[in-house]
Parts: sequence; C-alpha cells; structure tokens
Amino acid sequence: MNSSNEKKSRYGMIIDLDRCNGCGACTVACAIENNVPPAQNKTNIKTGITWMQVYHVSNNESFPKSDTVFVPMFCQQCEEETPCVTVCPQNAVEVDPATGIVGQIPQRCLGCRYCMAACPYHARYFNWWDPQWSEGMKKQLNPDVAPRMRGVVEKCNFCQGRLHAAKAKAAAQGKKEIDPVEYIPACVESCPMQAITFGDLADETSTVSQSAKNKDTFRFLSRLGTEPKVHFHSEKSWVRDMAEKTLTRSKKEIVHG
Amino acid sequence: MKYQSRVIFGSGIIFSLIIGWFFFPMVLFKSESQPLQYNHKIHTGEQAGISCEDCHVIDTDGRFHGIPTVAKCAECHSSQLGTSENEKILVEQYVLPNLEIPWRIYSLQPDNAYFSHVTHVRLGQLKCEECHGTHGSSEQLRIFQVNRISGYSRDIWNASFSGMQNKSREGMKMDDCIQCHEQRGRKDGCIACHK
Amino acid sequence: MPKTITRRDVLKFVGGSVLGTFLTPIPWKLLDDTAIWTQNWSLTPPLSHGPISNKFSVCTLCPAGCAVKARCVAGMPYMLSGVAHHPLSQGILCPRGLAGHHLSFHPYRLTVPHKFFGKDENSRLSAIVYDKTSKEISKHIIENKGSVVLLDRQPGRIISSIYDQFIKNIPNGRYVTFNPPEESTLLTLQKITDTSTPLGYDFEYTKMILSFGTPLLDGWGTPGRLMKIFREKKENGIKLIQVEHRQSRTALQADTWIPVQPGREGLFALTLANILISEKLVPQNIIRSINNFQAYKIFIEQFAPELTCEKTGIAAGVARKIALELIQSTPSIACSGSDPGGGPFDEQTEQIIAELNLLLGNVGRTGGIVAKRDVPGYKNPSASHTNWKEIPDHSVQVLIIDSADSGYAFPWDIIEQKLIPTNNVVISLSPFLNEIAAHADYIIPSAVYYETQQDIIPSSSSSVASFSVSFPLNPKRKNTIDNIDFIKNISKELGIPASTATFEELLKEKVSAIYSSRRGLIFTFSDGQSKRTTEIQSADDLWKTFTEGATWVDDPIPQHTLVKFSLNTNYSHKAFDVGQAESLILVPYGWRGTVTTSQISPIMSKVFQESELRSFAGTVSINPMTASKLNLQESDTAFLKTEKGEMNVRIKIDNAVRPGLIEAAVGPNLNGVDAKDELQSTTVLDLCKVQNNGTWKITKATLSKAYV
Repeated sequence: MNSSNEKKSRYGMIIDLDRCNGCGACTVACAIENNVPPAQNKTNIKTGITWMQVYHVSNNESFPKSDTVFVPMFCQQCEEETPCVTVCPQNAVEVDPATGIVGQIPQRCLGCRYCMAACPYHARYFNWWDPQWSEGMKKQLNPDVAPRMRGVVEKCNFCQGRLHAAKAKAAAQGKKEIDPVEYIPACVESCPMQAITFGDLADETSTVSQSAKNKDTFRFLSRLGTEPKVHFHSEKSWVRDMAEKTLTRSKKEIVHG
Repeated sequence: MKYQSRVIFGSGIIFSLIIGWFFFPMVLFKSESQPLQYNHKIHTGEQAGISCEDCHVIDTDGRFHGIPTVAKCAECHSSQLGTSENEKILVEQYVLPNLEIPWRIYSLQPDNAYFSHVTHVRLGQLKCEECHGTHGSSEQLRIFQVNRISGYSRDIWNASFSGMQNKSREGMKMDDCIQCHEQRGRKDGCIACHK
Repeated sequence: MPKTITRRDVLKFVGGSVLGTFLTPIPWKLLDDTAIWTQNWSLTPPLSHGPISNKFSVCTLCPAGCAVKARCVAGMPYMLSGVAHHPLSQGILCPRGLAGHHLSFHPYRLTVPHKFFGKDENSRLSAIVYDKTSKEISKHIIENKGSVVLLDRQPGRIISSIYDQFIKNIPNGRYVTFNPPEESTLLTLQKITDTSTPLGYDFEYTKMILSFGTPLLDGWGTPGRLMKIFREKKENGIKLIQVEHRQSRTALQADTWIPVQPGREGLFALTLANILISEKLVPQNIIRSINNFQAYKIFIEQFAPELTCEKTGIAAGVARKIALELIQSTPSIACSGSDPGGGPFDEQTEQIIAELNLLLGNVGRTGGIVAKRDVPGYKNPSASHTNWKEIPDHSVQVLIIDSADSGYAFPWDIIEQKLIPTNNVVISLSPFLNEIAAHADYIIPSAVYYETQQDIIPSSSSSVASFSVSFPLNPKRKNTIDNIDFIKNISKELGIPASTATFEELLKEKVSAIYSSRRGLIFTFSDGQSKRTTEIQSADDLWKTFTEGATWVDDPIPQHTLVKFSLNTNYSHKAFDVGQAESLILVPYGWRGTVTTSQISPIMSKVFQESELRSFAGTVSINPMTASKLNLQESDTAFLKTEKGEMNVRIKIDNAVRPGLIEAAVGPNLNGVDAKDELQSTTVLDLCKVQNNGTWKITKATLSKAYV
C-alpha cells in the first residue's frame, strides 16, 4: 500500500550463522505456518517443498579440523532486477511496493518454472503433485494461508499471512502502521538460538538496518546486483568467503527442478 | 427470400440470447434455501435495536468473525422468546443440542482471497450498507444461489448477472476490488489481497 | 406462407445461435468459472472457517515439560509455539514439538486394537475387537508360568503408580522401569554417595560444562533451557567442552571439541583425573574428604596422559590444558547422557564420569550438581523400583509395554533377551505401529499427545522440581483406549481390586498436595507471570490455574557439600580395548524422539526426506578417505554387514566423520503421508551388537558397494 501518506517498508533479515545449530525448527515451523504439504512416498530432495531449507556447508578440511556451518536458504527477496519477476510470463510475481516482499500469486502461475531456473538461490519450489494431508491434518491448516494446487511454483513470502494479521490488528486499534512485534515470521519466532533477526531495513533505527552495516555481515551472491534483503552474519572468514563463490555441487543431489 | 433468411439467422441469435441470459443462469446456479429463516429487521430495528457489529463481531485482533456462532444466538434465545416457527427450530435443533447452523454464506470468498473487514470499516470508513446494501434490514433471507462449477455464491460474480448496474460494488470479484481501490487512489500489490 | 425447412435454414439458425452465444455470458462465464474451479477444486483442501483462539498446554512427547501455546481455528490447533519466559522451556519448542499436534492424525495411527498372528516373517496384523482382546490378555496373565512384567520407560507419573498397584496384585508380577539415559550421571552419583535425595544440574550458574557425548544442544533435557544458556554464553561466561567421537551438532557449537576415540570416553576421564591428582590441582578440602586418597593416588598413576594418549587419540598436552581449564573455571559440571541413537555408556564409564564430579568438588554446590526435592505427592521413581537390567534373562512370559518413551533408542534385542523364548506374549500400549509395537502380539491403541490429561514432572536434569499438567488440544480419537481404562478393564477381568478414581481426580490430588506444601512458584502461561503458591486461595483455585496453563516450580534448597566419599580403584586399561584399528566400526547415532520407537509428524519430512539437514534411517556417513578405500561415492547404495545381520544403506560422504568409522543414522524411516509402507524389516539397531553391559555403541562391520 503506497499511497503517499503511508510508510514504505523494506522487510529484511539478518541470520547469524555462528548461532545456527541446524536443528530444523525453522524449516518445520515454516511448513506448518504456510500449509506446505508433507512429503509423499515418492517425494525426494529434488521434488520436495521446503521454503526454508537449511544446508550443511563444510570447510572441506579433513577430520578433526573439519567444520560445518548450517546455512538457512530461502527466498532472498531481491529488491533490484529481481530475476523471478523479470522472467515470469504471467506477471505472477512482483516486488510488493509497500513492503518489498517478493510476492508470488500461485493461482496466476502457469507452471513453466522459468523462475526456478532464474533464481540464483534455488529458493523456488514446484508442486509436482496435489498436496496431501491426512484427514485430521486438513482441519489443522493455517486459515490465513491458502494451500497451493498441483503445477504451480511457490516460495517464502516472509509469512505474509502474519503480515495481514498484524495489519488487521493495527486497524482494529485505528492505526495504519503495524506494531513491529506483531509481525514476526514463523522461522524467526521458532528459532531456539534466536539466530534470525527480522525487521524493516527502511527504518534506520531498526536492529536489522544497524546490523546490516556490521563488517561481518554479508549477502550471498551480492555481485549479481539483485540487492537481496536477507543478510547473513558470521565471524568465521571461511564462511564469509563462501558468499561469493558459485556453489560447487559436491553433493550431486541438491539440484532442484 | 433474403428477408426470410435474415429472420432465421436473427431468430438463432435471439434463441441464444434467451438461452444465455435466461436459462443459462437457471442451469448454472443451483438454488438452495437457508437452513432456517432469519429476520434481520426484527433484530436491527426498533424492537431489539442490535447493531451489525454486535453479532458480526470484529475482535480486538481485527479478525472478522462473520456469521455468529450458535452460542451468540443462545445469549438471548437460550429458550424460546416468541412464538415464531423459525425460533422454535433454532432453539430445538441448534441451541439446545449446541450444534452450529449450516448457514450458506452469500459473500464467501475463495481461500486465496484476503479481505479485511476491519481495514475497510475502521480505516476506510465504509458503512456496512455500502457493500451489503439493505441486507441488514431485510425481513427474510434470500434464496442462496450456488455456482455449480466454481462452488461459490452468485453474489460474488454479481447478483444481476450482466454486471452492468450503475450501483458500484455489486459484485465481489477482483476487478470490483481493483476498481474501487483505484477510485480512491490506492495502488496495492498483489499480496495485499492474496493469501 | 408454408414452406419446408431446408438444410440451409438450419445452418443459418445455428450460425445465428453461435454468434448470439458470444453476446451472452455463456462462454465468458464458463471460462471464468472453470478457472476459479481449478484454483479451488477439492484436491486442494478448503480452509477451516471459525473463531481463532489460543489454548495452552504442555508437550508430552518427552519428559522435558515444554509449555505450548496453540493457535486454534474452530477449536483445532494449527500452529504451536513456545510460551515466552516459561521457567523451563523459555519460549522454545523443538522441531518435533512444533509439529506435535499432527500426531493424533498420523497416517500410522492405530485406532482399534490389533493383533499379530504368528511370530515369524509371515506374521499378519489384523484388527480385533477390544472386549475379546482384554479377555485374551487376561487369560495369558492367568496362565503365565514365568513372570508378568509391566515396563515403564517414563517412571514417576500418576499412571506409573497405577501400573505399580495393578501389577502387585498379580502373582509373579513385576513393575519394571528403564531409567532415562539423561539421568545416568545423576543416578550413578546417588548410588556412589548412597543418598536418596534427587539431584539436578545447575547449568544456569555453572562456569564450565564437560560433556561426554551429551547432545546438550540437540534436544537434550529441556531444549529451551539449554539453548537459552548457550545463546547467552558470551554474557554468562559458560564454556562447553564436548568429548565425543563424532562432530555432532553440540560438538560444532562447543568451545572445544575433544575428538576422542569411540569407547574411550572413560579412559579420557581417568586421564583428566590423573592430571588433577598428579599435578596437585585438587584443593586440599576435597582431598581430605576422599576416604581412600592414598590408594587412589597410586591407582590413578597408570592413567597418565602419555600412557593413554594413543588409545584416546588425544594428545597429552591437550588433556593437560583441559584439566587446567576445568580446575580454573569452577563450579563446573561433568555430564554423560549419550546420544539418543548411540545408546548408553557402560556402568564403568558412567561411574568414572560421576567420580570426576566428586574430584572437582561439583556435587552439592550451586553451579554444579545440586540436591533438589521431590514434587509434593510424588516419590523419587528411580530409587525404589526394579530396573530392566535386573530382570533375569529368559524369565518374562507376559510383557506389557507402556506407550511413553524417553525419546531414546531401545533395541528390540534388549527386550528379547528377557523374554521366555517360546509362548511369550508382548502387549504394547501404543498409539502407533512403531518399532516396538511391530514386535508385539497385541497393540492397544492408547490415547496420547494432546488427547488426554497427563501429569508431567519435567526432566530430571533440571535443578529444581517442577510440575505441569498437559490438557487436551485435539479431540480424542474414537475407539482409542486410555491406559488407565485398559488397566481397569484387565483388573476387572482378573477380578483384582482396582481404584475407581478417574484420572482427573488423581491429578487433583497431586495438585492439592502441591498446594498444601506451600512451596515454590506458579508460572501462568497466559500472562507470563509467576506468583508464590501461597498467594493462591485454595487447592481448587490452583487446579483452575493449571487448567488455564501453568507450571509449578519448586524453590531451590540449601546445598551441602559431601562430607566423605570413596573413589573406585579397580578400573583397568583392558576395559577400554574395544574395536580394532584395522576393521571398520559401526557407530549408530540419532536425534531424540526420532529413533524409531516414537513417531514424528509427517511434516518432519522437510528435515529428513526433502532436505539433507538430518539423515534418515539407512543412511551412513563415512570419511572421504574411507570412501575412496572402499571405492564408494556419494549416494551409492552399499552393503553393510555385521555379525548380527546385513542391510543395504545409502552412502553420504562427510569430512567430519573419523576415518574408519561408519556413522549410521538410526531413524526415522521414510514414510510419506499418502501410503502406509510396510515396516522396514531390518534397522541399523538390529545390526548393532548389544553387549553384556547393555551398550551398543560399537560394532565391527564391513561395508562394500552393492550392485542393485
């Protein structure tokens, strides 16, 4: 919503990789919040849907000098030249003018998967099958998020269902601006190590815009110039150096689509 | 002869128009009656004097509760107050066994559409009547018409079918939303109204 | 003007109709409606419409006692989250707990009693009628010639005392517990110091934690409590030293990781003890309290770091540095509590670790291992009951296994060795067809996981006693049978007296005992506030507070250091000769609650099946060096063989694995939400050799490429 009297937000995240212990709470909370269906028998790592996927990255040193960092990877919410927006023939993706969230409208998607090929972060997922839940689990779906049908692409949208709820709560009090504590994505809320900080990058005083300036804060593939709004933080230099490397796929299965 | 062939051609057109504008809606929509009749006028009028928001609650979280639960009805109708047949049904079949009434909802949107009542009513300063017309003072519930293909209420498309009314906000499709937002100088992204 | 209708006229009419159709809504509306239909067809489930509410409860998946806030739509929970500032869980739920509400509707959920016909590979699972089941089970109990055992893996609950009462009335009946591995160090210390006072870890005020393979940061204890301590470790100055053969998640987050050789953890602990004594690092007051100090001093000389370094794989210098750090940062805690899949340590290793605490003066000290009180109305469970290990081999004819588990692996071998080989009857009170239930003869579908009320006396590792009640979030599934009703029913069949009290009445009894004790604080979930128990007006008010979501937490008690103790002097180097360098060693590992005896929500596939974040059953990790020796590559299928059996496994190559080790994930099995697969016939646990001392940490194995 960007009529002139309203504030323009740019939501973003800082993820402290030194804190992440790879427990998987964010991945599970994300799937539950966003009505992502559980795997079917035939589902594998190539065909699964994990908006929030946590990767193992090794420093490639041998035991016992080995070190592993867990990297949560999801839609990086590119602000400029957003690759998926540029390629979509259906206008099913856009950078929301009011919030900066890269919004995907699955109902508009025709399933060509061009965006999946274009995404530098492999953060987009295709519904290869109709979603399935057990009978009782269907009644446990989040009423704020529409389930997607077979044949469309989906991805992280910073829990826009929670943004809607926060806006409604603000409106109930007659306010146009949301209270920042009311809008916290599921992964941020569930992280036991509090490794993820969420906030408005357009607000100079917010924790995220402060931490984004830290010298140990970086973004993945920032050389592409897409200005992602998800930042990472690590005090380990080998982790920071990884950011600009093109991923070498030692694990041959991690190739989507 | 040329004249006659025009008549035949024209009657073909007329035939289609009759089918399309008269019979097609009858076939496309299935009419269903509500599980019991409800008189808005008695409740909102001078007799009881209830306002819309007393039953169609917007809570402190800004969530619109839609049609009230039977518990809400039971606040007054825990036992029969009057003599009407409908009230008897309400008390005996729903309130006492504590079963929810399977109302058919005229304005139910698809799951992927997000509509916030509180934003429109509190921030947009819209009156209920602007969208829902005289529903609040109606004496009985209209026949509910459901689209056999999409499964949604006829009101979503447009009650009058042609969509050519002068009245604004007759239908509740995306174009109707966009039209009204544009009139008010609002430009929104997709995710503002999609979930 | 009569005229016959020609073919031409018909075509004209049709032409007109077609043109006319485009002037009607027919094509446009059909197109539009069809599009809307495809977006909302029945293959995508419709969302619930109904009032949104918050309910509070306590997670019962393991004994951690984490507080849960459930957002519900039309009364059904759809999103669980922690309760901020909760004294135990600190607003955190583990991934398994986040999806706990799904379990009631798990595709593997059993809702009618089942019976396995036959005990061989051709056995067949069929549904049977409950009345018939209880008659059959009663008959087995009456006719038994060995003993009737009821196994409780979460002792100390209300239901535990009901089990105990029930089994006492049966000839040759025994109530048997299996102590949660998390408590092992504490229980060993209780034994050494001959005290019945329950002990706990005072992690909040410690300076140093020396963990022997304890998965402190991966679901151990009450996860929220430990996560909070470690994420604030810069501020509170806690250091963690992880002594573990593999680079687990805890080892990755530790300040120091000591990559000890598997099975030599005890030897490393003895090495530390040697350094503490020989370098005179132990304070005089502790030395004075050791009864047999002179003997111990001579005994420990054989464990000098130079003599053990080859076996432990830890350089003498490193061991010295660790010992020095330990004595400099007091109070400290040395804990064991092994990997959930890897199984417990042997008693000797447990004792060595416990004794290290005595030597460091950690026991009975704030920030160390502290004494606590029992929950009012409860007896400390570990002290009085028979332990599974004490049951003679091949003596049990009828075995009833309670559904609750501690989240730790429990190989069927451990059960099997106690059963009479023929004609044994195993009854599993389990809501799921899981690993243990698959071996049972009768499966009684119990109602659990947010379906019934349950008392929780949270994790033994906490520094003070606490108590919560879990209230239902989900509707109870039809035809499921509460454990208490099962016991009542069998008692009736057998004609033995049984209490008629309902579970709620028993719960209220416990609550009024807490009220009468006038001890501790009540934390209420809805407002995140604590108040004294004494501020509450009556026992009924306290019950009401619990129904709305509350946890009772006891006050800490004054600590007294131990006066006198003796240290064991009969360990030998020989005990640590496990495995040989030239063969491959199979070491199982797992994640609490996913190691096949419990079920997890289907949504957990995001972590196991749809990403590589955690490994599922049948995945083994090996070092690249091991892989190249065996000519194996990533994702290859390989053939894993031990003396116990063989199975096909999937290879994962990982630098973080010690060369020569095969790290095998114990669970979970992969199962989609759509179909019920057959239970896997062989699991990694079946391949592990259960030693006489009850461990299955190390098994010799071979691995070769499978050509399938």
